Amino acid sequence: MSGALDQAAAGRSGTPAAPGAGAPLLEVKDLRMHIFVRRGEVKAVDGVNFSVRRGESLGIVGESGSGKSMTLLSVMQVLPQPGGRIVGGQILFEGEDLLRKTARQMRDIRGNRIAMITQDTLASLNPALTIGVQLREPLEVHLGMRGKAANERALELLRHVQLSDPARQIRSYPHEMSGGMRQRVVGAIAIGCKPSLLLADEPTTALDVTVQAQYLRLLREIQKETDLGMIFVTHDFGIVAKVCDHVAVMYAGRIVETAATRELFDRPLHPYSSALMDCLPQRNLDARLRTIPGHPPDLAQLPPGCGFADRCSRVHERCRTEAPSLAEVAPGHKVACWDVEGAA
Amino acid sequence: MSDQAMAGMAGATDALPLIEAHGLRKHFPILRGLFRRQTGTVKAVDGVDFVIHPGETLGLVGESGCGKTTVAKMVLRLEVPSEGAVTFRGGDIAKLRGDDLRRYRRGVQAVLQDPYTALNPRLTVGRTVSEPLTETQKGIAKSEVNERVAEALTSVGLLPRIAKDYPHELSGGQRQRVEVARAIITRPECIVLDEPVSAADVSIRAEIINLLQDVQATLGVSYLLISHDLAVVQRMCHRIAVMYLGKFVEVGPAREVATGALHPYTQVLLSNALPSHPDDAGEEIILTGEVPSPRNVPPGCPFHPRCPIAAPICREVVPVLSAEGVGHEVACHLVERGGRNAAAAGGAPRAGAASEAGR
Amino acid sequence: MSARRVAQVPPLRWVLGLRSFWKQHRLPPALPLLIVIVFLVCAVFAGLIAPHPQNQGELSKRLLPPTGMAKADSSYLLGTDGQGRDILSRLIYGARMALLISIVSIALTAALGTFIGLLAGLFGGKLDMVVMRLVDVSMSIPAILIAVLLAAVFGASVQNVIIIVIILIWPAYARLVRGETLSVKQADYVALARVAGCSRLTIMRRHILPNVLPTVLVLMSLHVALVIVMEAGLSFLGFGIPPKYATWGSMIQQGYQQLQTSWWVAVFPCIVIVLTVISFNILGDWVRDRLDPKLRQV
Repeated sequence: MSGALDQAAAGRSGTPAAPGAGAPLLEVKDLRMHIFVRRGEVKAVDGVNFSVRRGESLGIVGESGSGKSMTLLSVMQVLPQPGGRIVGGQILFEGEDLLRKTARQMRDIRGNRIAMITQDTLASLNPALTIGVQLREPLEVHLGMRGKAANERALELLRHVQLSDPARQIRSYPHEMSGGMRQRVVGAIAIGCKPSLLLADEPTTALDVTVQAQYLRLLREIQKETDLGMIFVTHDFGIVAKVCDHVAVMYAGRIVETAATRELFDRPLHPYSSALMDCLPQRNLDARLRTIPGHPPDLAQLPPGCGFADRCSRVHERCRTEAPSLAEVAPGHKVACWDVEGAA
Repeated sequence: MSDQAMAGMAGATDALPLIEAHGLRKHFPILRGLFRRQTGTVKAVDGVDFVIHPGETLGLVGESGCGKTTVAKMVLRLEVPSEGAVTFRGGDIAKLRGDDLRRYRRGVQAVLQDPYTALNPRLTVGRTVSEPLTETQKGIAKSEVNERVAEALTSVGLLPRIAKDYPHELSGGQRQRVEVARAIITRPECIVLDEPVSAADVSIRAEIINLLQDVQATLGVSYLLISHDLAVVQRMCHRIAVMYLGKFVEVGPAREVATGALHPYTQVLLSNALPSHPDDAGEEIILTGEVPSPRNVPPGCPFHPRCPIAAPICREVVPVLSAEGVGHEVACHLVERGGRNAAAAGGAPRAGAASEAGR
Repeated sequence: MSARRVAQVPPLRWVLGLRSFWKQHRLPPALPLLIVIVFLVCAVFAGLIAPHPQNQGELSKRLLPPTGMAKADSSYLLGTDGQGRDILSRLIYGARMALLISIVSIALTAALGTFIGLLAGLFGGKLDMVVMRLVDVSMSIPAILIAVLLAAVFGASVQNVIIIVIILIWPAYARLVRGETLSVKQADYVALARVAGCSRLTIMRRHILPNVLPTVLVLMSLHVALVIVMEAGLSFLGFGIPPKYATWGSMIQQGYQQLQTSWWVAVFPCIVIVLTVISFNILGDWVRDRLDPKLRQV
């Protein structure tokens, strides 16, 4: 545990963990998930590589439609239907390839060893069941807990997510709670079976700043205590700055830059990363905000070269014909851009 | 910008205030049972005063449920105040009829939060954008309407031919631009912006913020900006009013509130704002619990149950806004005259809130 | 059915072309449309199409089986009933009665129910409460009782059937439209319309009604099916259309006792009812999809 914490600390201070310092918890290699629709093949996830260690949190950042949520869904193997299919790559979780698992085996992993929280808490909780029933369900299914033991554990979880008056709340229904409280319950359900990996898809977008701060703090604490690996999908670099050790910037289904958080904030190399960072309203209050002209490309008709070429301020001839691949420009800092020296 | 802020601060300079709110209150009865008996009151807005000067942006910040949207609705005449009044150019808007009402409608427009429900799915963009014009200037020539629609769409960076499209054919960013086009077509003097960017992606958010600032620069329009995002408010506003449970707890020039916040609640909001760099994550004050329901507002200072520095007096006496600087007002017992609040100056916040040094 | 035929004969280019044209323009499903068209044509031109009069039979030709069976008479394609009347002709005239009843009663009810529902949803308060109690009362009255009552007092008549149908289905419209109005009223565009200076009437007409209407249209097309069944049921029980008119319900009623010996008397009207009802239901779904602007261009 302490070793993992050291790793996390190392990750956060900007020095990447030394190679071979323990196998990663999750390693995604060249993952491709395409959605087959009538107008063609949407390359939602198009050759993505990343890894997460225990006790570490990775932020995946991008605009909507960049494929960041689709990457998470692919790891969970809950693909958009109809048409979603993983067409290549590997998802190694604790050394096992999830893509070789049967549907049944995946069911045992989902909500048990890998948990997920989403933005829309009203949709992820069943309005007809009490909080207690929904907390106990995964415990009963995955851990075989029954009756009193399950109830005790449910109460303990609610205390863990710092919900006031758990004994009363456990009997209430989702609609009786505020957004912040529901988000906590969703968090409690997610950590119920002591997962080793937590996937979070914009979990705080709909929350007030104060509640967001509470919740991010809570997630951080849980992560420390249980040595959890975490993937945080967001469009907001501000959240990354607050909670993530590493960042992967995603654009048009590909990762365009990845580095330790501090390193990326100090030295964003890909034009998209810096543009996205400059969109933050809290940055540089006196200057006019920078924006990114144009739209993300249609993922069903990707141009041959770099997906960002049409919106890029530093575009070359080469960018339109040949797609750059991720190359390491500094220890732990990879970027896919023809304009960056030493890359590609 | 700072000149305008000064003008706003100084209050009654030469410019007459555009919009004024006097002792604005909105109480909703809680009705229960078969005979709809009143069992309580929700004090959504509980005594609020403010002015908006021409060309000025006033920001209203607070958590959800603090009453900021109800204020917006009263300014827009969508809700009738239980007490107090909103005036537009000196006239009580509740009493406007006929032509006066239409003049007020032309003068005050709105952009609302959700671009997906803000546009009627069955009307074309052109119809939606032209509506404020055709409804307030009956008998306006069709050719002029078309011209004005094209002009409005162009000034928000859209192509005029988009007027023929239906909302579902547009992207989220385009919808938001259409909303702005609709709000400016009557050349209003004030636009109420209710969380105009909180549903948007960062890049679209930046575009809309720039657009709104450009619109203000070219049209000289005032904004009443409602948001829970301090960064957006700081960037766009000349003055900020921080709202908690139906009351203003701090009002002042944007810069002063952002850098020298006096009310503990404002300090919490500032400390909870997202950083722009991992190193900026300074001392963070984490509040326990959530905003109490406006059904039963705590006695004394409404913030005292969550306040990191609450003192006994806070539980009993309701603090009132009092001036702490030029145009800077705070409602807190613990603010010493002319400066920092006692406990914050004295060091770490007291028990009652979990706080932690920056990471 | 058409799909199978395409598969059997060599795929003709124009057939495929027609199919893709159909899909591209999102035209209604072909078979139900065809059935509904046949139904409409029969109803409108019953007098021209029907080979025999609806109500005069020759007792010498009673209970002739349909063409193709032994002892069939080729001038009676679907056979004859117990009074020697041509089943096909009666089916065609029955369509006319079914159409008349459904159009009149549904149009009246939809207009009335939508108006009431809109007012209740838009203005709320006391009006809303009164309307909703009325809906509850209306829904708790046993229809059969009213039917019997009306038939006893005024005698069985077309108007009675229409009145009963209106009493039975108006609450559905009022309730649906009120609910939809309440939800549409919440949308930001209604608030913005008020900010734009629209009057309540304009808001109702421009912003609420068009967003409520598609659901009403779907309900109407589904109700065509329901009303046909209802009319058949009432006529079957003898409280509905007077016997001088041929209706599908009374045809079944007259035929079901001879089901073992002369099945065709009751079975053909049953088949016609089922086909028509299913077709209207399918077309109703199509109407709903088609009217939804979000689905317009998929």
